[in-house]
Amino acid sequence: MARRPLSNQGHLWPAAIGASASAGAAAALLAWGFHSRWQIGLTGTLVTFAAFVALGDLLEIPLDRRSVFSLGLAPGLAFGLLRHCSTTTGENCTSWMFPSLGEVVVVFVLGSSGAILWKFVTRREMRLQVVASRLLVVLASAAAYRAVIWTAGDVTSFGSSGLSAMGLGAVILVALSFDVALQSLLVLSDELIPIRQVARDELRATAPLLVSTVSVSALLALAYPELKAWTLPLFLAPLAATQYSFKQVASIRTNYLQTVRALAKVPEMAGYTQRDHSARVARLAVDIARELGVPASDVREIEYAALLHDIGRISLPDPEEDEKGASALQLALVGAEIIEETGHFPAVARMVREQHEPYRRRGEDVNRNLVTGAKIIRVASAYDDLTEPPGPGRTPWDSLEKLHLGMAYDFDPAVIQALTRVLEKAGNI
Amino acid sequence: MSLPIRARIYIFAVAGAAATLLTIVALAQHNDTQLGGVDFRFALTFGLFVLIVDQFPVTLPLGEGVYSVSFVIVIAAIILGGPAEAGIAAAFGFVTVRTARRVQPIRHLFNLSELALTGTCSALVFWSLMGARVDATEDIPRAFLPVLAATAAHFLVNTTLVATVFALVRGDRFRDVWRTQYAKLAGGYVAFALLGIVLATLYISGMGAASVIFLLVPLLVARGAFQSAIELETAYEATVRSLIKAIEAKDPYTRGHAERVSKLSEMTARAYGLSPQQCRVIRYVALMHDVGKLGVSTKILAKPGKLTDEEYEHMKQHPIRGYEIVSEIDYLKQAADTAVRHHHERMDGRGYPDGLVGNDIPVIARIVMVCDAFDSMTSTRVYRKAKGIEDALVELHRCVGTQFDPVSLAALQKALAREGWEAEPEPREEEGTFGGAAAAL
Repeated sequence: MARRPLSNQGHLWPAAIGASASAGAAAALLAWGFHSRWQIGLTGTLVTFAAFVALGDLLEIPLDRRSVFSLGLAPGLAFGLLRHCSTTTGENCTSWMFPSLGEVVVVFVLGSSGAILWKFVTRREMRLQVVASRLLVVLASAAAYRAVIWTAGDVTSFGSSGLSAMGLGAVILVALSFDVALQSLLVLSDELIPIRQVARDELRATAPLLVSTVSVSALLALAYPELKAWTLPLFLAPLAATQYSFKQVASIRTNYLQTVRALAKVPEMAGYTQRDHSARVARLAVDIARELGVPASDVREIEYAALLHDIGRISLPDPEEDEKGASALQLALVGAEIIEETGHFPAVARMVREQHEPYRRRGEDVNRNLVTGAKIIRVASAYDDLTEPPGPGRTPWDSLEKLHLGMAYDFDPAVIQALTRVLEKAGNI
Repeated sequence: MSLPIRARIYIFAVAGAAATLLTIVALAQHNDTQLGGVDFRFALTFGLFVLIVDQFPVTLPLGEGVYSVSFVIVIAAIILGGPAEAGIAAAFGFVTVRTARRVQPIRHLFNLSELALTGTCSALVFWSLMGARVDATEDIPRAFLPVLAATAAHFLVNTTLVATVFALVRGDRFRDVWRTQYAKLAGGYVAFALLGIVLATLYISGMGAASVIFLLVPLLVARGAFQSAIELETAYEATVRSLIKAIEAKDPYTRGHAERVSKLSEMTARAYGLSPQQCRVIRYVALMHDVGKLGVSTKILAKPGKLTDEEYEHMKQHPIRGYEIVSEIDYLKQAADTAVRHHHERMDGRGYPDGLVGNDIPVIARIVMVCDAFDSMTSTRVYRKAKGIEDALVELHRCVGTQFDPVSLAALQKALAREGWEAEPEPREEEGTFGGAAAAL
């Protein structure tokens, strides 16, 4: 579990106090509701669900970059969709009702505050903005569900699968659009990338999890009257297994990137290339790719290719000999071959192979078969060679000017433009 | 690829066993008052669900084995139907549209009979413990333990049958196949069994087939995540291996050394009793233990005869260079500090780079030290010929206490005895001359 350094503890106090206060408020609201108009029978249910919201919140799934996906959404939403009996005649139930949205808020706040307090005590990162946006998602989805059920018929006929499917569809749509919108806003608040791209990446990252969580919530709500307390562990166990797989994926991905980063330094250590050249090129290539609106999964491959773009050089017998014996083209081919050996990175190998192909040869048409990644790496690597190590005539401006001279022949104009924008945003020019 | 005759005999034996068992069970069910015959409609309905779900299998590392989420549906069939129905429904998992025409009929026969046999066996386990039909949701809580038992039975029978066929077809050792492919699936099985209970509950609580559709979504997402975790891990391992190979290629005499030390160290760590987590770490860290060598000039690496003091000092830097690189990988950081940095220490403190003594040398480093030395001895180097395994072990024993840790050596010996080992093949003639040429540069 990632822990925050202790030095950050200071500004966590307000969050902890806020969580305690809202937990207290939720408990008070609960007590008041319990006293006045809410069902006594529901209180136990409410507390059970709140406990599972807390548990789910502690089992988070780290997604790409900064966002996390919390499983607390499932019990929270399930409670919002839960149908319970309001009037009974003997054994049979004559009328049904949903918990009020107020009760949904109470369950959610009670559970989340519990989780936040626990995270505060164990010094884990508390992502308050995620909790807040999730509450909105739960409320919006629960409201949409009620709207569908109430317009389509009365709550009594709720069990019929056609109606449930419609309600479920509405919930999935509402939850998905709310979540994607809120998460994109969070990302956009501190990064300057095109909004469509952020929304698309966000949708790709969350959609499968969200859709599955919503379906599980709906099933949970449907099964609860039959199975009672058994339902929650039954449903959360498979979700936790999914969560484990996602976590696994995220951690392997981190290990992967770090390993490739580290191994990319081996040729540098041996003196084949400049120190940190590959790391700098990778960073710049990622920025350019994002600027060009390349999807997140392709950005990852471009990062790998940029890290490994010089790996072919280790085939040279001696670093000092450098490119005397072999042309840059040959080295690129050797590098691509090494990457192809892995059998898992055809796209990365292709980028490394094509990094030395010019955008257009004199007297020929533009080479349209080049992959974007290769063109980006070509520009990023050339820029880094021109600016590092720094010196007179090697400022970002000078280098950009030289790259502009090669535009339309050596380099793709679109990539150079993207590089210019990246440098502008970073304040380098 | 045509199958070896042993595999063919085995497949027909499994098919015969499945057919016999299903017939006996069906007849027994026919005479049973409580079950009252085989409900073919139920069996076909669930079989259809299995068929649909199986169009999205999870491919396991090492090729052809697949793992399907249809187990959820089989468990539900086991809970709600009799053993014969469960067996029939399970058998529908034998074919996916993607592989239907590519695969030989005999393989379909194996999948079909293997699934039927597994399904029937675990249903029999369930029935022997449950003893009565599950008709209402009130019965579900009582079904938990029998379901877990049936899951265990399913897991064992299924993986044993499949690992055997792979062992026969490829000539691999059964235990290796089982361990690499299936042992880690146990956790997923339990999670799927719980979902099977959920499905059974929803099915009898009046939702019927619609519950399957609802359940399919989270199931497929889980499958996707599981699949990508497996794929990513496989890709990761392949990437690290080929990058290391490329780096190693600079020194032709140590070709394959890292790979072999990695394998040996993992085996030894297992025999030492380290946790699977640590074994995985040691596998990768041993693979990278010599990356620092690339910083050492080729002239020194391939030099026949003794090194000068200056050259030796330069050579001695490689564990530190390697440590600097590997410690940038978070999950290997600690291991890099131990295994990469200290793989040239000696128990008597005369090693490098830090001259640690005895127990100050971390366990992982001691394991890698022994395995590194063992592989060096059993492979040909510029300055000498390879030793046999026995001779190498005698030599290592001679250096116990001064150079090596006795416990790690004992663990290595145990691992070699248990899992067997093939030393590096003799380098071919042209490789030898290439080494000479590199030294002449």
